[in-house]
Amino acid sequence: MRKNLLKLVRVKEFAPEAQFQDPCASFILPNVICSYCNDCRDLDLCRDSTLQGHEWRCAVPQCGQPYHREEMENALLQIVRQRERLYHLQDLVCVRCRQVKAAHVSEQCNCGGSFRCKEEAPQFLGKMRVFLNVAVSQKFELLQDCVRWILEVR
Amino acid sequence: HSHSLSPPPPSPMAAPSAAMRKKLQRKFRLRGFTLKVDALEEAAAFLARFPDAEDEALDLLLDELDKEPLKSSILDRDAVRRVVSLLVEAEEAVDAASPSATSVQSALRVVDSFVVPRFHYDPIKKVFYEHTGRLALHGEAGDKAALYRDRYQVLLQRLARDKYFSKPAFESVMTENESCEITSIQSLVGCTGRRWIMGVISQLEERQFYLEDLTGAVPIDLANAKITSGFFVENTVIVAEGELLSSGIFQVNTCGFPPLEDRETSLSLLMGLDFFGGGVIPTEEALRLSSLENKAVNDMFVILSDVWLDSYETMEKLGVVLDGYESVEVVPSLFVLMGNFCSRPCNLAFNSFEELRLQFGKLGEMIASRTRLKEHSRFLFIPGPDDAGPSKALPRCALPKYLIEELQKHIPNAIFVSNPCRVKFYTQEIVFFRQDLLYRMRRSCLIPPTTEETSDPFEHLVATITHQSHLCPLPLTVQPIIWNYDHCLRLYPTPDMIVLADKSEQKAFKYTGITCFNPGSFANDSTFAAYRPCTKEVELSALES
Repeated sequence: MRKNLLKLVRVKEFAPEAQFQDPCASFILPNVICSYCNDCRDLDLCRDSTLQGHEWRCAVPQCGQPYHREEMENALLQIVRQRERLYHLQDLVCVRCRQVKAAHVSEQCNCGGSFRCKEEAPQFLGKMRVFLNVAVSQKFELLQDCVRWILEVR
Repeated sequence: HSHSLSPPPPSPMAAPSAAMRKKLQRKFRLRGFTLKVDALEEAAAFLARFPDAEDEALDLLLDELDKEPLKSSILDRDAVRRVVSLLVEAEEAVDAASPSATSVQSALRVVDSFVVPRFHYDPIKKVFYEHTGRLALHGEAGDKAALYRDRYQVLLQRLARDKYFSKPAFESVMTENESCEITSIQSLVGCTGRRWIMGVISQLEERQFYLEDLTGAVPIDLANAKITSGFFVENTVIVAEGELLSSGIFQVNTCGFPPLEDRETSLSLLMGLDFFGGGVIPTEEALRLSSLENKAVNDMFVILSDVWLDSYETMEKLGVVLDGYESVEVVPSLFVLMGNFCSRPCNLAFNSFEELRLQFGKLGEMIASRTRLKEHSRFLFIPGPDDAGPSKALPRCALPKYLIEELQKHIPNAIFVSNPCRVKFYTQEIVFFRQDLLYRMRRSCLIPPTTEETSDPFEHLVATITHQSHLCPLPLTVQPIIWNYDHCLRLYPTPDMIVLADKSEQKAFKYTGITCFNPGSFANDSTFAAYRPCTKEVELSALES
């Protein structure tokens, strides 16, 4: 069905426009532990309305204590650092034959195709913007400084 | 920037007082000069520009006059005016705007990695040209290939000028032994006999190394290769002599790194191109700055690496060092404090950022309490590999604003810069890099380094980075590099001095005109270094425990 729908709008099946893009960018912070009641859960920083713009608190009704701020900020910072590192280590793939690039110096694949990043800059930076929004709304200053640098905004 | 070469017109002002006249006559006579009336007025007018530092200005004036070729010891207005204009120019030159920070009292220019200009080589026109346009932190696929291609091109164009590798103009003149022409890997196919190739060591297949050049790749066998000094690490560019076997493998007999090029030779070919980032100096200016550099006998840089702000002992030790320099006759002009600034690395286990911020503030207080240092020294901060920040890829940006704000309140003119960074002192080019390179390079070696010339690993390290013209020729998987900013790590033309701050023991090594030293870990070993740029002397120091 997807093929037919795409045919209707005249988009090639494997073109970038055809890739599914989640309309609401989301990010899940895994294994967040409450220092008061030891509850452990994943937090969806974008989709969970209780987290938007408020101080983050434990969701357990009997607890409700705020999460440790510096711990949260650091958890996010480490994810940002890891993703940034991975950007520069990522594989390059041939646009034509999809093979992963092995050589360093060459600009063309053996099949004659050119290479592209597995994760391109606009996608990467889009994900980083989510972190910036969180940092601004939660007033995580160090995280803000770091993500601003990555996004090349002042 | 432009400035007038003619001396400034004398400002209409009150004639010098009798006391001033007497003082000037006396001081000049002590130096063997006699001042004519108009010369005295000229000198007095010059001193009036520095009401807070009259004695220093007078000494400066007298020093400069000593160096001037004078016809007689009787000074007239012109003689004094000439020297005055020279000094005024020097002062104005320092004030000129530039993308890099300048120090107030000397021709000290600090260049952040992210503003260093980038150049590409045009192999057809045989010239370098500057990259125009923005350099994205997050590049495209082509940018990654360009990183390797640019590195290779810098070394290839240099090799082409080397007398052993340049193509002979007349085939009959050079015998096979004297000249070793590089064969492109593409044209290696079907070749027999001894050949020279130059390529990047790449592991294109599991357990099989290749050499890659701009034309292709060939598998190599290094099992019996005789090597020169250095760490032969994957991703370094090597020149290999050997033979292509029928199996298609190039058996390497001998290999080494591309030969070094004299700094002066490189500079003469890059006339007008600002490879270092400190601004291009026209030749006349270079001579003048060079002479100022030679006279800067009192300038000294103190370099400390691993300054752990969260360690009581380290801060105590730092206090001892600062007190020591606070009490010397002439305080150091520059303190370079390098990371890591915390005993614990920035990872999931460490989150005391606010505490770290306060600790930076305490450091600021500590420095400010040494009033002479605060007044006359500059403080430069370079982050270490484990300091908090957005990325571990190189080049690493300056310490985050959040961490340094408290310190800035105490030392407003402190300079925060990238790792690595460059410093220009008059004409001298100095590169600072904080990285535990020695251990990583030794681990990543494909062949154990030869002990023929030296068994000192630091010397092997210096040989490697200078021949590769790159501060960190490790595989990108071991040390990621921002693809569009690889040029900030390059050492071409070879700088005058390289500071390689490493956690291994402190060392200094002079290698073909380049000085390279490691101040050692201040936190772990209580070692640091003092450097006199005027004489290029390094003093490896240690605190007694």
